[in-house]
Amino acid sequence: MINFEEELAKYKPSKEIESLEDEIVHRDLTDMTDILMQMMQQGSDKKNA
Amino acid sequence: MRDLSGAISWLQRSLKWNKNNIPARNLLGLVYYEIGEVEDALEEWTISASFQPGDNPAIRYLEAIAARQARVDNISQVIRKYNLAIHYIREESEDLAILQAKQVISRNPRHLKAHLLLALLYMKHEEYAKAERILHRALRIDSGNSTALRYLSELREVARQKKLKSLKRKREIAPVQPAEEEDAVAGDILIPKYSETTGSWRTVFLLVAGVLIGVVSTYFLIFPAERRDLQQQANQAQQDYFSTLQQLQDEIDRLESGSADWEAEKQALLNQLAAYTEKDTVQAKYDRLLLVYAYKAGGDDYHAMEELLKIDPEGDLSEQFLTGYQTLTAEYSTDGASRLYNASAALCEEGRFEEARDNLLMVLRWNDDFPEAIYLLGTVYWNLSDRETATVYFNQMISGYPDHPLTAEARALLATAG
Repeated sequence: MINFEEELAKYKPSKEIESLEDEIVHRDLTDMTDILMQMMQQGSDKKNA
Repeated sequence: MRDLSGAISWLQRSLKWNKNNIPARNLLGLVYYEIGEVEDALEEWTISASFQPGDNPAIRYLEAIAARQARVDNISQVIRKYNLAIHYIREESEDLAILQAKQVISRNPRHLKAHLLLALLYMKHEEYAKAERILHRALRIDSGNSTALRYLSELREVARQKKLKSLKRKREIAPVQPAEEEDAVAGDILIPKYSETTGSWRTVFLLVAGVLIGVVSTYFLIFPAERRDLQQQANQAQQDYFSTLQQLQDEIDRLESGSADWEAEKQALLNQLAAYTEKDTVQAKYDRLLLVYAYKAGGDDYHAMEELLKIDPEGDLSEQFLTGYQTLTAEYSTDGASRLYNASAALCEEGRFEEARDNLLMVLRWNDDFPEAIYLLGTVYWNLSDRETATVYFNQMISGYPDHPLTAEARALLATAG
């Protein structure tokens, strides 16, 4: 059985168009390539240390 | 297949691996746009354009939306109304939330979240038939939407429970004689032994005699009284009928005696009317403009636009008339056409394709550079099984708006026709 209060609480407001710029600026666009690069950088930093 | 939820999931995963996958990001924007999440579509296209500023379809999509202020305003209104619906839910004013959700759908018939929200509210208020209708519409937008499928499953369970309850109630209606009464009597008196063989002929005779007595008494006692009543009613009805007939005959005689005069008067009026409408006098133009305002005040965009088209602004017309005419013309070319387009989209959702067709033809008479209306008209003719006319409009999309998001849909539909 659906719990209506819980289900209704899942619906969140949409982003306003005026706030889109802010949303984009703060959005995390990290992908697997970035993560791999970070890991490789950390590895080489450790090596040099 | 139209499993847009599935498409979103896979495209998001693709971008998690490679955020520079421009085709995937652009497609994700299109899918978001398709399900009414325009703000997410704009976000993806903006990010795409920042990653690849040159030769990127995302830039054309953004320009196409920004180019029409009416569209931007509509998008903002949709977002505001959806957010207002959420606000009303938090304030426990669910009737108002339902109203806002319906307005969102009316403005954007593909707004998936509004469909799901409205269905959920209907379910909470036990309006199950309405909820089911909305959920089927949601699945037409996104066939793989798990929320819609889950809600439908809930509706089926509710229907099953109702049926079970109803069956149980029916079984409880027929009462059963308790066995205790028999037990209480049995110990006190002698119970005659039941025999199936004695008195059977006697029983049959008595039964037949009883039926015969009933038939005879009905015939001789009850029927005559009823016949008398019916006869009286028939006589009265006949009198009333002849009386009315006589009155009508008198009226006809009276009318016929004066009809010669009336025929001449009628003909004179018809002649005047023909002179008035054929000449399109200045007065007629003023009257027509007033009619446009009247339709506009009543929210009847279709007839306002129809009447406005009939006005020829040439001739000895005042400056006020021309200002009013030009203001209305400018308004109906943009906002009016958008409103009528939105109304057509809502009619399509209700399956009222013929009305939608008439509206859209009017929209294009006012604004023939309206790709959404051209595409929608194509789908309307498609649904009316007029593939030939539908093809004309789809080809217009392909030749006139090759990069428009809806052109791909038009191509896909034409491809299914073969």
